[in-house]
Amino acid sequence: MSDFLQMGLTGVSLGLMYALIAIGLTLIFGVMRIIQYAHGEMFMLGAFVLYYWHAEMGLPYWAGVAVSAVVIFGLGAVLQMVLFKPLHGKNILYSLAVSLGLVLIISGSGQLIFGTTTKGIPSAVSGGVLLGGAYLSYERMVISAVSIALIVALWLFLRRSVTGLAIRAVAEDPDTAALQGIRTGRIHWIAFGLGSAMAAIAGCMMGTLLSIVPTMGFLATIKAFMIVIMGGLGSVVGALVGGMILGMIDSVVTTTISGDIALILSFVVIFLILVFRPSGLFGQNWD
Amino acid sequence: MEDLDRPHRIAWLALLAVALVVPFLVNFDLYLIHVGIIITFNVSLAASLWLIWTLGVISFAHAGFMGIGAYASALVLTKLGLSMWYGLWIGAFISGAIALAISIPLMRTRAVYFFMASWAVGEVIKRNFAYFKDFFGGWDGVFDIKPPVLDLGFLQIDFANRVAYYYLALFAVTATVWVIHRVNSSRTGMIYWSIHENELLAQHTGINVFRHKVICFTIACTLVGITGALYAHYQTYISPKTFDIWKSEFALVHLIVGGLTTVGGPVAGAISLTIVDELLRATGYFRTIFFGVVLIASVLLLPGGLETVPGRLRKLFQRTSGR
Amino acid sequence: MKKETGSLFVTRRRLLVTGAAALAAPAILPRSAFSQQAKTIKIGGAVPLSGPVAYWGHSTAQGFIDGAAVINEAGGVMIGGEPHMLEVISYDTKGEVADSRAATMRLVEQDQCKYVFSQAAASNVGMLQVTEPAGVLSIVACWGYLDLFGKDYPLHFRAEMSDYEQGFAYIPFMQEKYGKDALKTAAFIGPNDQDGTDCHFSYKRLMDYYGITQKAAEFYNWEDTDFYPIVAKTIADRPDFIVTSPSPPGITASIIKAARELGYTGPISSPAASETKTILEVAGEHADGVILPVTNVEPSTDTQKAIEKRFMERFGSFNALAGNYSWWIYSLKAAWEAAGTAEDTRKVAEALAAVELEDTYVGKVKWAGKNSFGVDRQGVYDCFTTTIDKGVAKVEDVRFPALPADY
Repeated sequence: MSDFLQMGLTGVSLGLMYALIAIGLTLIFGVMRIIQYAHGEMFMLGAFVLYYWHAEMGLPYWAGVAVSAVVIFGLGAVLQMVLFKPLHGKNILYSLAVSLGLVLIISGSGQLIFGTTTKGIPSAVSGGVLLGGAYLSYERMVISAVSIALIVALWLFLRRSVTGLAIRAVAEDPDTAALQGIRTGRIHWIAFGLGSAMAAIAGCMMGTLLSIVPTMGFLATIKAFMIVIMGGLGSVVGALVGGMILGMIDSVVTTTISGDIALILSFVVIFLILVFRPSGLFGQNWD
Repeated sequence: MEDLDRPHRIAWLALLAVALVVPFLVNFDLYLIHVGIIITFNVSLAASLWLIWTLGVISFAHAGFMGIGAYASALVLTKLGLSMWYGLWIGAFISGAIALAISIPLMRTRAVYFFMASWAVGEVIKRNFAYFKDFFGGWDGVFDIKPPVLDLGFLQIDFANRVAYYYLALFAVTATVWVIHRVNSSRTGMIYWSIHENELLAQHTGINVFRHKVICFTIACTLVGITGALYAHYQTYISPKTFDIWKSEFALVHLIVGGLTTVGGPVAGAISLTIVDELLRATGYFRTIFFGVVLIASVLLLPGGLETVPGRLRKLFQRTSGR
Repeated sequence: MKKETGSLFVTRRRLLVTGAAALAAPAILPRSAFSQQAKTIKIGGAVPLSGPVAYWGHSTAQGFIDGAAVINEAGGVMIGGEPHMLEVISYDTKGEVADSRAATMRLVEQDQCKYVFSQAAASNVGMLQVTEPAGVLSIVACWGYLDLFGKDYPLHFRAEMSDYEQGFAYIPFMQEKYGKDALKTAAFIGPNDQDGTDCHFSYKRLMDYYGITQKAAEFYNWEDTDFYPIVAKTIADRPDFIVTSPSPPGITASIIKAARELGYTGPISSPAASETKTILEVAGEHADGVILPVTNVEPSTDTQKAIEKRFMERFGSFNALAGNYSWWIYSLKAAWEAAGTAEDTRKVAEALAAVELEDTYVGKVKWAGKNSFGVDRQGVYDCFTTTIDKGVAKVEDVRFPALPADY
């Protein structure tokens, strides 16, 4: 019984972590309709900012998370204005190409600048509780809480705030939004920055759980894309559901059968979802 | 229908002529001939990916289908003892058959979802090679995939000789590019481009879009299956890692840097970037970083890629000489 | 991220310069353009210098670059009374088989290297396809692919002790530390690729030799971000200790953390992690009871201190791994001088197999394996085992592996 509980708990916390990685990507896609393949690189840079702030300089952890989010917000905004803006309205292939170029540049320069030694960020909290024979560490609880908080905050932001409504309007129909007096250019860099900052926060959270290296971005990119495709691009709820599906597959199938099968099964599930619902579970239908 | 105009035909013939005499030009330097063989593989990979692009999508399962061709041909040799002359066709057939079966559900997805679904397909192909250890050899891969011997009775050519393999690979890539060019300049090619431009409109003019998409995908995957078989018998070793997503991604880089409107684009991109890759071999991290810079620079600064360079030069020349 | 962005642009500019230099360089010209300098021995490196495993490649190449500089300063290698200078050329393999084959072809066919070093299984597989038929001596770090090693590959040397050889040092040590009765059962966690499979094979042989019962053997995907599921499955059998080879330091740290959080208290040995700082940073207080063979966290002898100092000056960094690889070039030097030739690689290979060094970064070194592989081609040396206790890493044991009689 406790085995099943542990599987379930691990699956839920893993699912929330995955969702945390994926929501930034879904926001960027929903607004701009571009593929940000370097999402994982933002995740990696976010973790490194926290590493230098917290582990190297010894400054407080949570302030470091905020600093990292702000720094990566700025980087994302700049990248959008310099690299992605000229591609607006072109085939999705071009944004894919530019972000693929960013992956190569950022991970390669990361190895030059940060060095290739594996680094680790000490956790903010330690310890945990036993729940009916299953163990749940405080660290995972914090990560799950941050994930839920960010998802709720993003959801509220998109529905309640003026900027959020503007973002949704632009996502819905950029031309009409522009006619209503929304400055779409501004919305684009804000959304890109926000999405990148969320990747950075995810990097900070996961950075304490994993170790960090400049080439770790691909881990996050793979997971984020798997989730976002499943849930539907541009859907916050979809990212949450997609993350949960993936987390549960990883936890239950790995524990009961094996890791190989879990990964193959995840890809088969994605493929089947796309075949039967070509825009993902909660995706908008668009061309 | 429309064929090549004269300058283009001369350019293609010149390229082929240079490729034919390259081994003599480099004084039969074995390493440079190796680079030449790698170029032919990269050209075939990029050119067949470009054929899918004429539909307006990019498949990230392309390296996976190359892997199917490679594994089929390799296993036909190691398990049945049949040489590459059989494996090549079996590999192409299996690759095409799987592509046909997969593309029926795959082609239901569109644009970005197609790209991601194809990525999942490529990943599943690769992981199956790794998972079924007894049959495919697992991550360990397949060793000793011998190159074939051509026995013409009066003449025996052993393709373990690198110069001989270069000409074999050159023949294959010429045939591949020619097939792609023929398809593209036929009426079918026009239909692909009309789907590329506006799928809905194409559908409304009475084109069976779905069927054309499936056929185009199958042709491209059959061609890349042949490339895979040639690749396996040249490298003599393959493993699932050989056909991971990076191979598709680099084919995409070749395509974008080269240009997307004619088959000349992927050819130019694959040739130039493979050479640059070899030049950067001693530079460590810059080898990765440089590709990123080239990719971004060519999208933003040279829209249209290398294939637009002659036109740009001509324009520049005319402008300066005109004044 | 101002700083990083700034550096990126510098990098790009630097890159253009490098690119131009590379274009101008005669690197791509046929070999006729190279005038073979007299009295130079070329050593080629086909190692990953970019990509995810670049760390290993750079650590290996650094040992050769540093060693060549030291030997050249001291007057070179004396062969037949004549000094020979050493030249090291390294090409990137990205850690891929096909790319490694290409890099080795360039080293052997264009640069005419007769000695090639390599690192990690994939690069090694690609390299061997070229070196052995061409009569080129190779010296590598590779733990698996045992069918590519031994009698049939007389010019192929494996300098780094694999997890198998290390086992004859760290398992006796653990038995002394914890008592034989406390270590009756073991479990294995490794990656689900060839490295993991090969290390599982070594682990099985080791456990059979020491009469330890084998429980779960689990394999993770390189894409995994969470090790709770795999660790939960492993510790369900309650093994007395866990072996995590060949997991890199980061993944080892995550495994250790997950195991401790899920209530596992036994020792965890990791024959590939060798990066104590990472493990301490990630696993924190959970890192106690970790055993890291061939990891020397505190250089103590004069030789070790000198190597650390030189690496810091030359490369700006030093790690235990680079230290472990630093002796390779000195054993080659001894072999050239003993064989009296650098041209006849078969003679050099025979001489190299007999080389024994007393004072290197890893202490005493010799080549062994005759009874297992038919030839003495496997490097064996003093195993510096580091343990972590109460959040502090220190070298707790140094011993030469007690190899079985039939090794």
